[in-house]
Amino acid sequence: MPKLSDHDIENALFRLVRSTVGPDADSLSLARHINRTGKQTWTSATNGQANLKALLQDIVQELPDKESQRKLKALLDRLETLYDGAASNAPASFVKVLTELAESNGQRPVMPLHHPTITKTEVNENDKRRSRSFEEAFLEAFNVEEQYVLRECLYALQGINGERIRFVWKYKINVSLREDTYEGIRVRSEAIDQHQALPPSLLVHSKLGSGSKDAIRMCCEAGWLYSRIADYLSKVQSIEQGAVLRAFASSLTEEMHSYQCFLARLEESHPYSIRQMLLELRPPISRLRILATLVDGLVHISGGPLLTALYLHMRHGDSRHGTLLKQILHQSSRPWFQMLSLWTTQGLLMDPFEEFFVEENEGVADHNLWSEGYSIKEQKVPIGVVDEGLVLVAFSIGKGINFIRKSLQDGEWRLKIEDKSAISESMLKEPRSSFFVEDSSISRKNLDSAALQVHSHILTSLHDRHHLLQHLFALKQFLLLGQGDFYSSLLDGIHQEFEGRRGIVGVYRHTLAAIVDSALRGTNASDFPEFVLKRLQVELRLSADEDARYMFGCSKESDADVRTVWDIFLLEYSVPDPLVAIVHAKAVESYRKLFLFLFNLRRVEFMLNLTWRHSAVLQHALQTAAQHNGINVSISKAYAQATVLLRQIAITRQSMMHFVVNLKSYLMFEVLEGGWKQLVHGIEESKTLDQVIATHDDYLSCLLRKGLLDGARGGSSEGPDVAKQFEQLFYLSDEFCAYQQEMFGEAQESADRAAVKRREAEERLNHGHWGFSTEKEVSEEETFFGLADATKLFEADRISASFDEQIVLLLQALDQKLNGVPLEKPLNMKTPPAQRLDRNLSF
Amino acid sequence: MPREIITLQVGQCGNQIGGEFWKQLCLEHGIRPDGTLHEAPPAITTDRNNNIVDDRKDVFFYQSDDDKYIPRALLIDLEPRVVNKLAHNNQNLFNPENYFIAKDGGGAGNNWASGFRQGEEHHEQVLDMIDREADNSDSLEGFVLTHSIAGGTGSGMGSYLLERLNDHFPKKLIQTYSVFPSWADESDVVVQPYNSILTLKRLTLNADAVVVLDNTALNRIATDRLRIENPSVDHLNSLVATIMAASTTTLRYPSYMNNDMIGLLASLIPTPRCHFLMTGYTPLHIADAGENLASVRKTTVLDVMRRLTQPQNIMVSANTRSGCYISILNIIQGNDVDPTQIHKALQRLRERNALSFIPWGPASVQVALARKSPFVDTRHKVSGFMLANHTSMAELFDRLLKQYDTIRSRNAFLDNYRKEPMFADSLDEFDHARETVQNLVDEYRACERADYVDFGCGEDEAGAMGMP
Repeated sequence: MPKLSDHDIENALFRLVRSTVGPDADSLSLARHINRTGKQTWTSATNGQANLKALLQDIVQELPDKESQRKLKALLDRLETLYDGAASNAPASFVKVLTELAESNGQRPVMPLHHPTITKTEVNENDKRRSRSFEEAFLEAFNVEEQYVLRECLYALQGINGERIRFVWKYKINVSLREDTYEGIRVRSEAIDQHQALPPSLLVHSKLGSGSKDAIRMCCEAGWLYSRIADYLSKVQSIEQGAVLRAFASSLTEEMHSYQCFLARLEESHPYSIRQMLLELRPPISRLRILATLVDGLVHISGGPLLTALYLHMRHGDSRHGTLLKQILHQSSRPWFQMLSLWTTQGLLMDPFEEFFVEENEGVADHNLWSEGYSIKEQKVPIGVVDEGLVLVAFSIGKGINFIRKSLQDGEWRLKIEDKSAISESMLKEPRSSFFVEDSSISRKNLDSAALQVHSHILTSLHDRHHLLQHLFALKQFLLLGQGDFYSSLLDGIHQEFEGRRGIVGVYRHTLAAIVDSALRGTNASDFPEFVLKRLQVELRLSADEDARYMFGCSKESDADVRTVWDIFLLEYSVPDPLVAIVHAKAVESYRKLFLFLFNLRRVEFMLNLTWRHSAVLQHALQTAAQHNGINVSISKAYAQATVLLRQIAITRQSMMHFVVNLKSYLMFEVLEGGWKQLVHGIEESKTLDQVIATHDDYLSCLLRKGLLDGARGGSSEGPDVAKQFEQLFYLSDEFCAYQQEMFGEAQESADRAAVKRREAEERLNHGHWGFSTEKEVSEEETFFGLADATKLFEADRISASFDEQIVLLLQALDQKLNGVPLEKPLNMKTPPAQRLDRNLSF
Repeated sequence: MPREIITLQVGQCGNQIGGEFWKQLCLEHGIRPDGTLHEAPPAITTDRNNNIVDDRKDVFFYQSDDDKYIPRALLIDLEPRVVNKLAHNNQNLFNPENYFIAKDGGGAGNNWASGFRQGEEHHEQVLDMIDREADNSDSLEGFVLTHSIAGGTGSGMGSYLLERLNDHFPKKLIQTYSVFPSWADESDVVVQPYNSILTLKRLTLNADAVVVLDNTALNRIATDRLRIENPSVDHLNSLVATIMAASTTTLRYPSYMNNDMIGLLASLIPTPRCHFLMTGYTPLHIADAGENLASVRKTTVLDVMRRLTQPQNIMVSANTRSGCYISILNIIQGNDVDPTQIHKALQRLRERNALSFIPWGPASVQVALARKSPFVDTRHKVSGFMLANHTSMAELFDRLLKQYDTIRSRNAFLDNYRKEPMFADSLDEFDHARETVQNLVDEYRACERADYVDFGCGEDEAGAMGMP
């Protein structure tokens, strides 16, 4: 069963009342009454005739004159009988009953429902003219109505409630329906919302022509759109908003203004036909539609994203849409471009509402400004409005200007803008030559030239005023051990100061600093300019809690501490503030890693050289002793034993030294020097600070990678690790040196004793006495300072063997790292291992 | 602490080559013969990035109060001729206190024993001078002795000084540049073999490193490679000066490696007794010889390194095709050498497998990189110097032993020796010296074998000592 709408009921009731009472004034008030209560009553009315009867009785009560009351009462009686006869109490049949009733009651054919837009006065006028023919009356009414409709439309176009056309906002519906006693059309917003026509009951049966209906519909739509926009604007104006949003709002306001002008013109050119109006209305309404769409879509966004959204709208296929949006976008982006202009010409960030894509990070020290001071907020970049390539350029210009000002302390410097308006104005004045991707050539040129200026100033300043390459060179010479003579001297100094001391007790920072100072003075390092030398610092590698204790030298409680001065010594180089942008914290970390490795290598070499020296001295002493004691070296077993021991040690030392020297020469030729050449070349080629930073980062990571310190492993993760192997080998070499030193120390002591005795003996001999007085002296010397000792030889063998073993492991690790596969066949031990190492290293 | 090195020039030959050495050093460091500095050529004190690339003068020189550079050198001779000439040619270069000329001025008459005796007689005076120089330095690294082993003063007095220095400065390095006699013309000094063997004993026992300057080979190179007919002593000395200067470049132009003598020598001389080094240099030229130089037009790192190990470029008359290398150090000099070329060159050399190394331990070609002096205008971009420890050095000693044996078996020319106190009672010292040299030869030969470690003790002894 079809569901009856409210209108059907209303309609039916109207007809009933009119047929009963006649088309007089009272019927209008009745209709009003029904309108007011009908719907509400209807719901209950459908439930039963009792309610309906009550309703009708109410109506009867309302009727003004007795005659009518009587008529209606009679009608009611009939209704009652009719109703009883109806098959069911379904609403449809009820309506049918009502209609029948009305028809049987009526003396003439029922006119379509009298159009309610005709006011009471008009109705009165109509009354006067009642004598005229129906057609005449109709036409006249129509003309009057047209002017009326036009006026109402003018209101509606501005979203103003007219006499008859009212805007009923969806969210106010319940309230207004009840309390608004205004009689007339309600143009319901939800009707437009749902793209439905106006309520058919109100229009379909009106005597308005379809043109008027369209006009009303259109005007209502326009009014509705207008109100939405106005609403948005008032909302925007009521809050604290960013400049872009403000600009957007003002461009909207401008549009609205021109719309209002249009309406004013429309009003002035009164009288006017609806058709004409319809014709004129089309363009402004389509503009309103676009604007309202914008407003709807852009409720919560502002700043860059707003521009992005506008840009996307601009790309609409409809050219009118595009043109309008382009204009709006152009105006809305104006403040944004002003920000950009401030940023790219003066490095200023005037962005209280965070609309710009550059964000300043709070609390960043000036020397970290480049890396941390500013960041790009990707989501705030107005896509399409600026070329994305230029975003970075613009970003780095502003950052560069701030870098110059803050980090380089160069407050005087200003960007030279050839054409004063070059950057900002050109893109603001003519939309054509603006920043938009389509034709960004001009601004690109400007920005590029600004970028060039900024970067070339930064680089020039870094090079000339802040000695970039000198500092990098110093880093290489000092932290990467390029200054060989300095390190020879330094190692010597540290060795002399701390020789024979175990642990780190009594290691003072100032002692080490003094040694470094004297090494600096005594070598070519002294040729470095003062601004370089003062940047070198000695640090001790101690944990934080130790640091306090060791501040004034170590305390006594470190018996178990196996570290020596070598393990905690650290040389640091602090670059001046502006260069921190390049030698940033991570780079410093890399330098430290490289330094520790290279310094360790250097130290092992130094220790090996030292023991080489000791053994040579001992060899001299051995030969001298043998000669002086008349021992035949070719038959003495002890001599042979001592010689074999020394030779075994020498051979072990040789393989260690070979390893160390080859590793060092690999690092020097392949890694450090080559890397440095590339770095210098790269920096000379660099056009921007970012490129310099990237070049320097590459340099360090290349050093770490080629220096096999990056920790990454090729192939499987099993098997030995290169860095661990290096450590192991260094450790063994260290152990070997300690072993030698202990042994040589003893031997040297006894050799020295022997030498003293020999000199005494010579003295005696010169004075005509016997050279050696006692047997004991001779026999002590015969043992060759205790070198002819099988256990010592055994120890030497052990170290030698484990060194070879570790070398093999290193080779495996290297092979795995480089080739990614574990070594398949066992190494042929006949080839000296280090030779293979060497080959492997030259990748 | 510059790790100073004191040079002792002993005898006629020693002073001559020493003089040439200082001449070359002065040239390379831009020091005038009076010890003052030349104006630095433009843009040499800094590289293009304003980084200082200074040489290092204080290893071999010190500065007087008036900022003149004075060589750390002692000029010692028993006759005045050569030293006076040097003093005359280099007006104020040397410290006049560092001249030692024996008062009687008679020389040693090509007699080792006489030189040795006179060395002993004057030792206090000479050692005072050495002490003074040593005290003058912060951290003395060692001594360099230049001498010839065949004459009288350089060999005899040099030998005495070697023993003394060893005793007096046991911890200091002693390196010698020892000129070995040319065996082609024996007519010169018939007792050369005696003197040589006696000196060789001291070189073996008391020196830490001996750079062998073999007159025979130098002559050959001058004639064959430089196409000089009848090369003069000056020609040869110029060659020697080149070699000596080249061997010290890493000390004078510090870089990553080999910035001190120990570092230089330690890896070259794994077992202390085998410390006789041979040299090579390419491309060679002699200043006076004008266009006569070996026509090397293009020099690359690989090229230079290949030439260095070619037997005809090695300045020792021993056949390096037999035997094996104990160690090689190539010092590549050049200002624009790409360091990565060096490893590539090494790779190529290794692929050719032309060099044989000791079988008992790892060994390979080591390379050091040094700058060229900005004061010297050379026509070659890259030049190379080689220091090598090769077992064929024993050939040289073997040859000397044979020569020695020839005259010793006849007890020829011994009268002059018997006059000296050392040989007054017996000629035992000759035998000791011969034995020492023979041992040295044996050790070098043993170096060629894989079981070198056991050299010097019999099989059963080795077992008894718990050898693996």
